[in-house]
Amino acid sequence: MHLIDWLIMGGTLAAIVIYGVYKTRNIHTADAYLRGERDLKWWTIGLSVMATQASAITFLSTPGQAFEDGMGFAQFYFGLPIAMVILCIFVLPIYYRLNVYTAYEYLEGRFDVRVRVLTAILFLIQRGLAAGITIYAPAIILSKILGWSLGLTVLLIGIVVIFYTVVGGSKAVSVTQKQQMIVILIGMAAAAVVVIYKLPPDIGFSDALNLAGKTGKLEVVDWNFDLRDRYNIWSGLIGGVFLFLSYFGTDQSQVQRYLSGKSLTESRLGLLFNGIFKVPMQFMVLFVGVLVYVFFLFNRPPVHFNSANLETVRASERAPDLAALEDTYAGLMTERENVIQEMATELKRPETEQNGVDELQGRLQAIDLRDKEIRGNVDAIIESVDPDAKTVDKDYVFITFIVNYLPIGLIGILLAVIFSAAMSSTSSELSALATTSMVDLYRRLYKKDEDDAHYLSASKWLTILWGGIALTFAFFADLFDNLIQAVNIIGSLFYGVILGIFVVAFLFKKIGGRAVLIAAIVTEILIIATFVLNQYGIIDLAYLWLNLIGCVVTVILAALINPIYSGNQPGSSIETRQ
Amino acid sequence: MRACRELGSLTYLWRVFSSTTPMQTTPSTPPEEQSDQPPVLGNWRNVYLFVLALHVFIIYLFVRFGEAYA
Repeated sequence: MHLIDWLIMGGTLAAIVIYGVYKTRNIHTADAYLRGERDLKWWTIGLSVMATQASAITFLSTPGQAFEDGMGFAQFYFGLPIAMVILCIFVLPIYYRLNVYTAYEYLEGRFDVRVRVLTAILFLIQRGLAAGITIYAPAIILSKILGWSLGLTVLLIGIVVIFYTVVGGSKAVSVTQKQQMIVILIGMAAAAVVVIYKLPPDIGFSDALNLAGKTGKLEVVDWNFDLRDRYNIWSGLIGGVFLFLSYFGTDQSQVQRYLSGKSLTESRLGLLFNGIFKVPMQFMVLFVGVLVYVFFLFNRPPVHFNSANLETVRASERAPDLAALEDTYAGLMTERENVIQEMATELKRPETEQNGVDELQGRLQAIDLRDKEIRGNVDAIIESVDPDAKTVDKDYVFITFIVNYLPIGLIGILLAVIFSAAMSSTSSELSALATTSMVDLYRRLYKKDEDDAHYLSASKWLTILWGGIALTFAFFADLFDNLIQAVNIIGSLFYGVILGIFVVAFLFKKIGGRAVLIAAIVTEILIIATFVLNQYGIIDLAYLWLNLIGCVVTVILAALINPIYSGNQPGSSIETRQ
Repeated sequence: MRACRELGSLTYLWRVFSSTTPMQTTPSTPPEEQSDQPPVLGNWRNVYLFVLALHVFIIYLFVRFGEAYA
């Protein structure tokens, strides 16, 4: 990497961290540390909420997802705006009225302390695991580019995030996220412009769109209802609404963001800002991935995007086998380039004069099949040399493009984008984990009457502790095939049940704490069992549906169990907290 | 039967959504919430409808986008 790229990347990140530490130098109380100073305007809340969700995984995996499967992943976010509206109507006013630190605090007033603690623990488990992956994702980049050990890279990234989160708490998270989000949006827009500029001179933007469309990459909406299909409009709208209701309404890493607002109005507007801009932003990120795909139609892609795997094979006795496959692949790519050129020429004609596009599409499909076969053979060689190697290379597509094809300067900006995203989401997670541990467990169960200095100090130590746990998990994150899906799958295992608890709390006022506690435990066991059965191929169910199942089963079970306990434990209500 | 009665509280959703003022679950609402008005479009219901209508329009654009280049 060029010195200029180092300076741009390092300077951008250092400036953001120094700014965050400077702006939070006067945080001296536990309240300010855990909730910020509650003075944020709607645009800061909106950007902060978006930055929390958009981790480095978003900018590494999502373009790779589009490169492989097209734009269909955008449907995953279709439920988000609906969820934002529902939260603004039902949830935000209650959180504001009760003046809570965490979402789980509300559950004690509504049910009892056991439900509060159970929900807080479910959150801590899933978010603690996900925090590890958000640190791991950018670590792949550095280890790939610099040849550092992955463990050392994870450690370095984690320590920077832990440092400024420990120093400034929730306020540091918010003030840095605004700058990080601006860097992210500028960087991704620049990448889109450059990839178009890098296409052959006779291929314009509309030609690129035509080629992407003819190769099936631009189909955003899939109307087919299929429970096994991960991304279609129905799983996005129905499963997605439940996932995002749970994520934004009950996940402390998000709740903490909008509870830092100056008023209820500012928080509502911040969430709606996210509802309006999130889907177009994801579309843009996916679209960059499609443009990278078109770029590689004219520039020969590697036979496998994880260059470290190829180097391992080249140093082994299977090197000649790999070389033979690479030769075959080169021939196939030459053939594909010719077909693409013919197709591009054909598509430039008026539609009525186009001739043979269908035939060219057929040839492309045949080439794609052979392409997959060769890549599968390469994967097999990699596995034969290193049985532990990860052969899924989607996550390496965009970083390969950045490092090998972007101009000096822009590489530094794009790496700053990825690190900014990693830092913003990880810092939110660490702050939320520390806040929940402090407020819902430590201060509620163990140390109720300590002074403010004690709680401030304990909050900082808890942030360090969760940073350590996230780092530990990050060392094992390479066990997952695709990082962004891993985060969403982990979330889906717990979010449905957590959402079910909150749905009962908000809408079913007669249901008491014991019923919802039993329902939540039974449902969580069922969800994990369903996931395990799915993993072993006994059933076939897309993971997004786990959110819906978890929520609905928790509500129904709680309603069915409640009459058994209703005689000796009437359901309390939020009014008891007034 | 009890479960059915619980499900009846779903009408709560519609009552809240169709009201033009924020739903108040307690008689004594803090002053901060009483002054909770959106800066544009008059009331929150209009703001929510705008966000949802915009979302439908965006999905429509995605559909047309896919069809145009398929």
